[in-house]
Amino acid sequence: MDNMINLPKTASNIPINSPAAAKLSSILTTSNLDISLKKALRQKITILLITTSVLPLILVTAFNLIYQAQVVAFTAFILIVAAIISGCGVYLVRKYLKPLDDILYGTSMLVKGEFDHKIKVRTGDELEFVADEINILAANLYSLLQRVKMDKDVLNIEKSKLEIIFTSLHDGLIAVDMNRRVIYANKSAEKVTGWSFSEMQNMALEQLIHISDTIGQEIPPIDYCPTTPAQLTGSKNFNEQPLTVLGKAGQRSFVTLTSYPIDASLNTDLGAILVLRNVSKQKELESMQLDFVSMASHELRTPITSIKGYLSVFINENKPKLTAENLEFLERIMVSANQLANLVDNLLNVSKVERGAFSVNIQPLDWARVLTQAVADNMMHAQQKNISLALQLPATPLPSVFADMVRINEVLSNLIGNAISYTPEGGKIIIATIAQGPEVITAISDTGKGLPREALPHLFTKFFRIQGALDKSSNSKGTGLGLYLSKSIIDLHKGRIWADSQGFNMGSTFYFSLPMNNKSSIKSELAPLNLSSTI
Amino acid sequence: MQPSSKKILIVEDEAFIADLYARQLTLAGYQVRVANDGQMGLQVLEQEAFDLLLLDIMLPGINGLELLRQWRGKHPENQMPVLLLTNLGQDAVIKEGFTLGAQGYLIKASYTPDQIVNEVRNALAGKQAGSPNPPPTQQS
Repeated sequence: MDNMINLPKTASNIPINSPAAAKLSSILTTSNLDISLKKALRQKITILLITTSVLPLILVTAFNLIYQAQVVAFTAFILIVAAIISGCGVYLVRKYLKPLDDILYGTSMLVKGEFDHKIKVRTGDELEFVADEINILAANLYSLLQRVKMDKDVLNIEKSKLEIIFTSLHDGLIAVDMNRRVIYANKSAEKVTGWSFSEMQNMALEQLIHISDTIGQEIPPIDYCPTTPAQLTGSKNFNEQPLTVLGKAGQRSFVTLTSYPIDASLNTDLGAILVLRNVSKQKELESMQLDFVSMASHELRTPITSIKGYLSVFINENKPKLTAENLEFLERIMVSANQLANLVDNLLNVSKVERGAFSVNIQPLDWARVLTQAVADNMMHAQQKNISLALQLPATPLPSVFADMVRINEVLSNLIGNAISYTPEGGKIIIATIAQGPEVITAISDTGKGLPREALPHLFTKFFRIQGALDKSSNSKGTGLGLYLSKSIIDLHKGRIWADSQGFNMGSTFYFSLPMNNKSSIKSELAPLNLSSTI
Repeated sequence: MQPSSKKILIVEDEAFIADLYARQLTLAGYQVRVANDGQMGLQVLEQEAFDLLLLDIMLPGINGLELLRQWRGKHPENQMPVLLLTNLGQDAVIKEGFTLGAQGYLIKASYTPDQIVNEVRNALAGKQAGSPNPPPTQQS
């Protein structure tokens, strides 16, 4: 036993830093414990003194009485007395001093944080009571500690979860206090602003970023990040328009911004949350005004360009080295690549038609010249199948027609191409045109497969195809989109387009009309253009 | 290579396509330089003089139109013909290219390399190359 009276006054060596710990140390430093112990101690010491002083007196008195008897008996008596005194001493120590010692030892263990130690005092008196209380105290302390530790673990897990959530947010998140100083910023915010979180922490927003709108005007932080309801009424909604964020070292990003002022009654130091969504990519697309189909068709054309390009050069440079079969194979590849290119063109055009973005640039045209050129363009293709291609012009010169040169040539290319595709070897195609009333009507007739009557109403719809063009190697726009687009173009010209056929294998004729320019002055707008993708 | 052969700058980010055009133009007797993005294109234009610019529009970083804008801004007097090589079907964009002083445009996927060489030849000879007009006015 170190020092009987010197009880530990504080619990400062219990290693927890929390309100609970403060409470604990106050429990232990309460003088109540001191008082109980001191009281018990005083009582015990008093009893001890009394017995050790009174007992010998009684014994000396007894001794005097017995002394008159005999020496031996007297010695024996002394010994017995001594034994009794020692016995008493031992008894007193065990009953009073040891329990005290145990209690003091127990409290020092408690202070050290050894909550498992149980003080064992079974004296049936106040000391036992005190010991039991201390044991209960230890048990309570221990379970309180465990609870605190568990809470701490749970908090840490939740904190990690939140951190993971914030980090994986695609949007940039910045939390600021009432003075718009940064409390927290996630990874995406770091990317957008160019600053790391450690650089941003505790810095005011205006020291880190500058935000300006689409016309270049800077927006003050109080407007884009209000922290109080009063500021909120003055702020504007920036939700839709992309803003420019000027961050570290002049780094520029485009964002849409949303800010959420935090309710002050929540009693945290949070002032507002700022959400920045990086829209730089979309801005790029927008600045090009590219919709999905345009973007997709551009992407599709890139590999098509390479395929056609390299194939064409390879064929040209290696013709002498290749067998006829080799060449045939390569040419089929080229045809397929062309079909792919045509399909992309058509898809793009159809998309434009659907969006109403497909319009025409109508000019007066020398129709005879346009038709002559179209025939010339398709001559080689027709000759490959030994099909004769002829143009019949009226005797009197045609007045000019109102049409878009590029688009009307696409129509001609489509119709003539179809005629060639659906006409067998040695067939005939005739292109004729006449002026009729306010219109010029053009007819393209072939001696080919013909059209079933049921098909006639559906011809000009999307993806409609008569089964089986006559040759698989046909270069024509066999995508089912050609007639649909032709009709769209003719419609835009304020013309009409229709077809007729006598039936199976009786050939077919496609007609379309174009409004005429009644004025006698003809302005020729013909530059030779290689429009069709036939190679 | 003749000392009088014309110099052509190709600004194109797709390596396959740039290589092919450069090869065919070189075989046709021209001196060719290639830039793979807008920024590099501008730098090369500043450093050397060219007789013709083949300009792709969709480029990483600054795009072809931006390049043209900056180039015209710095050198408004420069007469070098510019041919827009593009796979874009977005006519408003091509139209802007014409506003910025392009002479013609070619849809890459519609021309073989040899046809492109032909168009280059036409352009250098002062003749019309590619489509002379912007595509018909589109709404977008």
